[in-house]
Amino acid sequence: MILREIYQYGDSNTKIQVNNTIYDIDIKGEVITLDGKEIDVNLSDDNITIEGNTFNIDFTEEGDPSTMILNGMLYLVSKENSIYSSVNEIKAPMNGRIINILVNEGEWVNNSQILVMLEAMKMQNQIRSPRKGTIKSIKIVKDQSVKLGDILLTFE
Amino acid sequence: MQKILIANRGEIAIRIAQTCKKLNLIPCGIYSDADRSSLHIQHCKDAINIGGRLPQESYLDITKIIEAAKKLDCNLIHPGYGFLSENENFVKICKREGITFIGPSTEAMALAGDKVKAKKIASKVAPVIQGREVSSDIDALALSENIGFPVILKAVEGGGGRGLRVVKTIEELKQAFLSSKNESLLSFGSDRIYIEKYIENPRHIEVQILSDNSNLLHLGERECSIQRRHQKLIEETPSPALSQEKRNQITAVAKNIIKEMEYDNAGTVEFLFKNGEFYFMEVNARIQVEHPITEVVTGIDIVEQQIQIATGEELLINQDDINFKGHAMECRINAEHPLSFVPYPGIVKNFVPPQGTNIRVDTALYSGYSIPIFYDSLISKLICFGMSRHEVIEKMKNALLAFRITGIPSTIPFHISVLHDRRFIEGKYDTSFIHKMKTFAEKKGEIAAAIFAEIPKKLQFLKIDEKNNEDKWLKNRLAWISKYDTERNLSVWG
Repeated sequence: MILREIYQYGDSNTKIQVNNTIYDIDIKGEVITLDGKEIDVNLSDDNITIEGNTFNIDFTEEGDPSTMILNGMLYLVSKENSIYSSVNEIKAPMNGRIINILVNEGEWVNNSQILVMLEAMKMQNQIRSPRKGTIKSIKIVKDQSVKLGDILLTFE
Repeated sequence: MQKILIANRGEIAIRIAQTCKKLNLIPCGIYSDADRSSLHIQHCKDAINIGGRLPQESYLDITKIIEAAKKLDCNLIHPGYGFLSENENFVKICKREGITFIGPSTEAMALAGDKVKAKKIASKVAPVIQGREVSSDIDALALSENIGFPVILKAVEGGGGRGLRVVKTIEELKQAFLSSKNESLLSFGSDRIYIEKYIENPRHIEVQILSDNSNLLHLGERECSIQRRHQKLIEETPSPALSQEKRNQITAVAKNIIKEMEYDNAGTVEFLFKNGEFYFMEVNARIQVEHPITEVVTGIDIVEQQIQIATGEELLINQDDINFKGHAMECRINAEHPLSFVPYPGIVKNFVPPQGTNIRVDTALYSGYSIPIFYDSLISKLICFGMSRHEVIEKMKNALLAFRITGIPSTIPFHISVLHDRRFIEGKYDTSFIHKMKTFAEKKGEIAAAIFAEIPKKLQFLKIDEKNNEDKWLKNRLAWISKYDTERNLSVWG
């Protein structure tokens, strides 16, 4: 159900190292395969269920490697490559109003740098960059209302 | 009813308040500006804000604490552990102000605090490690050559691992001596240093004592060898390293040391244990963090005994009344990054401790609590009891897996790893254990982690529109996407 959206956003095939083992993860549409074998995944509020085994997500921290604590156990995760690096457009994640634009066209931005502030449901949302790169164009102006999926800015 | 001031914070303040209520004493408390939302306040009948945030401005400020005791009409003070618990000057001032200090007499406190003197007295009745106080780097060199390397440098008036230096060669000695002296001066206000033979990778075993000067008894030993940078992380009793004969020996020696020192109240005699031999290290003149495991196997409330002794009443129990039953273990859960062990203050999102028979959790944590950066990183003590060591290990594993602390990292993964380590399971471990430890995790968990890392965050976010359960989903999802509690933090791509 989550993965229906993937068609819109592209597929991924990544080698991920967790602790000392490398896993080959392939996401194509709604199908997730692990080392060539299709597996059943279900994400819930604060847990992830893999083939019927539920893991509580206690703590996560991005980094290299990323730190995850699931069911009180420690997992170190590093990626070889990620679909993030091939992202070319930033789209609005929800309907709302642009309250601030923090970058300029031609500016080089870092991974997770704040690009745009979007107000929705009386909350301010920081839209952060999923990748490093140069901003090619900005498609919105301050105070503009946007709809879910509208293109906000593009990368070179 | 008498009022008692608990001059501490967090879990130990709550632990002490519980015994006070049992004894019909009215527990009163203090809290710093950083502790306004601390749970211990709720366990006290009255509590006074003493201001300040750093320990020096709050829980270490004797004037403020005495003032609070007077304002609250308390004629007893329990210091807990850490802070002023082993401060000789504080004991003196309490006495002068007519307040009963729950702990040893001024003289006993002074002696326990001076490691050189304590060792000298203990050496009459116990094996001690070769060494003495040194006056200069030249003196340090002479002594070290005499007893042989490696040696360890310690602060005479210190503790908690600060000022400690292990020196393996003659070339390193001078530099180590100077830096140990400096660190000791900064930490303890004294630059007295002593040097002794360094015992590599010993076990750390201690004996709990109760003494009222006429009656003296032991409550068995605690094995505390699972340490990181001289900080204990797991303790158990009885020690898997001791035969009954050795146990009888070490407890008898501990009692003799206490007798020689004329020490009163609850105290702990610490020993190093290596190749079947034990050596006296020091006496801790306070209630210790790990006291619950002793309480669990003996049924004795150590805080109750402390109060009993300090208020001038005799101990109501004899050695013959102490029956040791089963096995107990404690895991100290700290708010620390599980890899670097760096303290990690932050907001606890969910706190769900394990429940069940023979599980005890001493804690001051609650969901939504913001851990202040000014104090100890200990957030919870998980204590399990069972009839056998094997049973305790199994119980502890399950309790740790059921323990949900979310939003901040903790040492829970470390404990789970230790409990799966063959050396620990077989009871064959020493203070070097942690250096050779491997992290334990589940294979299926690795797959979950890999997939969770790869399912792009944006896709997780978009689930909202389909679920029609927007608010709840959003809140939860963003809670762990974001490092910040108040902001939403999204990664989006097109």
